[in-house]
Amino acid sequence: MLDIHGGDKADVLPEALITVCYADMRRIARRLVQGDAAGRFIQPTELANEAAIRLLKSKLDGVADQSHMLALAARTMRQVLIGEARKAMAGKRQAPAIITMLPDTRKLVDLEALDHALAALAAHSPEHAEIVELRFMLGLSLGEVVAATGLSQRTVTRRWQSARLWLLDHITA
Amino acid sequence: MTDGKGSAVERRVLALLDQLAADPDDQALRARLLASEEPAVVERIRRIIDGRSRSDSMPTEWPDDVDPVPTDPPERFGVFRFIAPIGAGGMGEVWRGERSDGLFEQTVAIKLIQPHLRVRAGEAFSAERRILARFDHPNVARLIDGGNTDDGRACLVMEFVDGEPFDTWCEAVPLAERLALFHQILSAVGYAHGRLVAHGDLKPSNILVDRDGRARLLDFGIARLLTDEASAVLMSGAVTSSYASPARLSGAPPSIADDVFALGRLLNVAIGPDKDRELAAIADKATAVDEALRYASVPDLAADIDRWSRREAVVALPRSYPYIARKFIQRRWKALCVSATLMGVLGYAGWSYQSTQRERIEAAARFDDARGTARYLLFSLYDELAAHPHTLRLRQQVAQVAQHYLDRLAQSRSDVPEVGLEAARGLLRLADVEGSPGMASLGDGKASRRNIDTVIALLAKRTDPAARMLLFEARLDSAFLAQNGESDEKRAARDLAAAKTILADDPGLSDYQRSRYYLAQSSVDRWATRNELSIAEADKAIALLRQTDEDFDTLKLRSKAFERKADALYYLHRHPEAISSYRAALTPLERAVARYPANMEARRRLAHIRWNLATALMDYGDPHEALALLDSAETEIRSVLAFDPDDDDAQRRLAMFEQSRGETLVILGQLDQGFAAMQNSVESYRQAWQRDPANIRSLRNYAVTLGNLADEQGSHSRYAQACANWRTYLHLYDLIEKAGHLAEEDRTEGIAPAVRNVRQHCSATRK
Repeated sequence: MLDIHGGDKADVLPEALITVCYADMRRIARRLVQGDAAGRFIQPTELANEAAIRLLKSKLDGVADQSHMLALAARTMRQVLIGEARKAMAGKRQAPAIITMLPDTRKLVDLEALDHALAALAAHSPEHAEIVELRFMLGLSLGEVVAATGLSQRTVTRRWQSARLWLLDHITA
Repeated sequence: MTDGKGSAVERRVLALLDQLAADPDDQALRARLLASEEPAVVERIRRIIDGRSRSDSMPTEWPDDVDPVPTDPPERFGVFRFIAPIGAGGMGEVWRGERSDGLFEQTVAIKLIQPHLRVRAGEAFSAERRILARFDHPNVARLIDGGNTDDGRACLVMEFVDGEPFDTWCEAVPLAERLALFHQILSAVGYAHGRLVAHGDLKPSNILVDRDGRARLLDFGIARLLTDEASAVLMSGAVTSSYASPARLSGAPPSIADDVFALGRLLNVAIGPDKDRELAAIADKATAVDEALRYASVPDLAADIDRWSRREAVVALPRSYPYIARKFIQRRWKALCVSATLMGVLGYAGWSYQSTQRERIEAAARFDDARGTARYLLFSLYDELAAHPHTLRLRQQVAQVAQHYLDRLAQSRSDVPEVGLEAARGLLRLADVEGSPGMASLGDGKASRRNIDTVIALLAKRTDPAARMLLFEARLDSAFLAQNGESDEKRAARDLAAAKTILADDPGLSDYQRSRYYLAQSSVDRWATRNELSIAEADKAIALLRQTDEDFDTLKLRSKAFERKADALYYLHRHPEAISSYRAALTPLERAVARYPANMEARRRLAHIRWNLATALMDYGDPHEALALLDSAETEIRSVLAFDPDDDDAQRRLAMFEQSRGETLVILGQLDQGFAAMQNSVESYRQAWQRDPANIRSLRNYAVTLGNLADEQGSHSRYAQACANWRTYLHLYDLIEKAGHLAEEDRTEGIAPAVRNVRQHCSATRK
C-alpha cells in the first residue's frame, strides 16, 4: 500500500512531499468523511485540497518524510473538518457532533473531543500521538505502522495500546 | 494546558502504560512497576486503568440519528414550503414539500443539493432542467421546478412518490411480477435514452414502487445537472454503489452503457435468489466489464428478456444446438406473443423527427451522452429498423441524427483515444449505410465520401493497432466508393496502396479483413482490365475465408469474390469457367437467404448474381436456364421491393431484370412476350424519370432502354414499333442536350445509329 519510506529523505522538499502524499491524503479524506455526518459539510476531494493548501501555507521545516507529512495532513484535515462543521452550524444552539469510531475499541467518539485529546497527548508524547495518527487517521494496520515508523512491532503495539487507554481516559474525564 | 511538571508525570505515565497496557489486570506486574513511582504517577495509572469501565459507557453503535444535525433549509422555495426531511443521499437531503400558493394541493419532494457539489453554471443548469422537465413517462417521476433557495443552495422540486424501494418490494412478490415491473423500468430508461438522457445512478433506492404497483424512477438525469467534477466526486468518493459501472466509478460522465450496467445489476435483484440460468446470463451480459460486450442499448436488453419469456434462445447464451433445440420444444407449448420492443424502437425513432428544432439544439449539446447514442442509433436501432418493412425513410432520419452526433464527436478535441475510435467506427458505419453503391443505401454518396474522409483524417496519425485496423477498413471502403460510386480509379488505387502498407505492418488483421483487401484489389485490377491479376487476387480472397463461417458478412464476401473472378473470366472469354464461378457465387447467398430470411441485402445480392449468371447463360449457355434464373431474380427483388417500396435500387434492378428477360425471350424466339417484357422495363424507367424529371441519369436510363428495345424491334423487322421508339429516343436525347449533359459518346453511340436507322427504315412516315 503506502511506500512511506519512498525517496531519499534529505533531498525531498516538503512541497514535493505533499504532491507525493496527495493520493494518500485523498484516501484519508475519504476515510474521514465516509459514512459520517462529516460528508454533509465537505467532500473528500475538497477536504484533501484544503488541507494541502493549509500545509503549503504553513511552515513545513523539519517535515522530512512521508510518514510525518501524512500524520500532519491527517491532523490538518481533521481541523478543516471541524472548522467546516462549526461554520455550517454557526448560529445554531446545538454543538456539532462529528462522530467517529476509534479502531480496536468499537467506541464512538466525538471527533472534536478526540482532537483535543490527541493534542494533549502530543504535548506529552509526540511519539504516542504519531502512532495514533497513523493507526487511526490513516487507517494503517499495526504491520503498516511498523513499516512506516521503523519501530519494532512490540513498541508500536505497546504505544498504541497505552495511547488508546490514555485517550479514552482523557475523553471521558 | 499542562505545566512542565504535569507533562513529566504524563510522560512517565505513558511509559508505564506501555508496559502495562498489554495486560492491565496483571496486578503483580502493576505492583512491581509502580513500587518506586511518585504518588501522582501511581494515582494517574490507577485512574486510567480502573477508569476503563467508565469508557464502557461510550456508545459502540452508530446512533440512528448520526447523520441528521439537520441544516435546516429556508422556509420555502418559490411556491413550495419545506415540511419535513424524508431522506438523505450522497447528493443531498430530500424534503417533503407542499405547494403553498393556495392554487391547488400538491405534495412534492425537494432535493437540496449539497453545497459542496457544484451544479452547472446558470444557463447550462436551466437547459438541462428544461430537458428533464419535458419528460412525460408513467414510470418516471416528474421534475417540477428547480433553482436556488434563498440561502443559495441548488434545489430540485420533484413529484413526490410514496413507494417502496425496488429491492424491498421484490422480496414479497413472485418472479413474473418482478419481471413485469422490471419491464416498466426498462421502458422508462429506454424512454429517457430516446431523449438522450442517461440516468447515471440507477439503483434500488432510486426506483420506488408505488401503491398501484407502478415503478417510478427518481433522479433521472440529475447527475447531468452537476459539473463533471462534482459528479465524479460523488461517484468515486462517498457514494460507491455496486450498481455503478466501472466507468462511472472512475468518474466518467453518465452514458447509456452505464445504465445498461446498472439495469443488469437490478435484473439480478429481480431474478432473486433462485437464479434462472438464462436470466442470470442476461444480467451477466448487461454487466460485462467491457462495454463492447454489454447489450448496446436498453431495447437490446429488453429484447433478450422478451426472448426468454417467449422461450426463445437468448442472445446472452452461446448458441449450442441442444440449447436451441430445447428452446424450440419449449416454445411449441407457448403461444407467441408480440414483442413490445419494436413498438418502443419505432417510438424513439419517431421522436427523432418530431422533435422541435429547439430540442435538437439542446440535445446536440449533450456531447457526452452522444457517444453511446450514436452507437445505439447506428448499430442497434438501424439494424432493428432494417429488419422491418417500410422503414427506409425512417432509417434516413436515424442516420441524420447519428450524423449530427458523430460530427460533434469527431470534432471534439478529446484526447481520449477511445473517443476517436468510436467516432471513426460510427462514421464508417454511417458511410456504409449512406453510400454503398448498388445497395439499398440511403443514396447519399457525397455524405458517405465526407464521412470516410473524416475517418481517414481522424486516424491517419495514430499508431495503435485498433486505429490502424480501422484505418485499413476505411481505406477499403474509400476504394470501394471511389471505384463504384465515383468512377475515380486513381483514388481507389491510392487507397488500396495505403491499405497495403497497413496489411504489411499487420496490426492484427483478421483473415476476413485480409480477404476484403484482396477482393478490393481484384476489383481494381478487373476495371483496369488486368484480368489475370484480378483472378489471382479473387482466389486469394476466397482462400482466406473459412468454409464453415456462415455469418452474413463472410457469406457475402465469398460470393463477391467468386463474382469478381467470374467477371474477369468472362472478359477473358473463358465463358464456361465464368459461368461456373457465377454458380459458385450463388451458393453462399442461397445459404444466407435461408439463414437470414429478413435480411434484404442477402435477397438483393442473390437476385443480382442470378441476373449475372443469366446474362452469361443467355449468350454462352442455355437461354432456358437463363430465363428461369431471371424469373427467380425478379421474384426475389419483388420481395425486396414489397418490403420497402421506397427502395430505388430495387426498382432499378427490377427494370433491368425485366429488360434481360425480354432479351432472353427474344433470343428464344418468343418475340411478342420478349418485346412486352422490354416494354415493361422501359415503362418503369420512364416512371422513375417522371418522378424526378431533373435527374439526368434517370432520363438517360430511360433513353438507353428505349433505344435497346427499338433496336431489337428493328432487327426483327418490327419497324412500326421500332420507328416510334427511335423517334421518342431521339427526342429524349434532345432533352439531354438541352440540359447540357450530352457527351460525345452520346452523339456517336447513341444518336448517330438511331438517326441512321430512322433514315433507313422509317422513310414512309418521315419526310
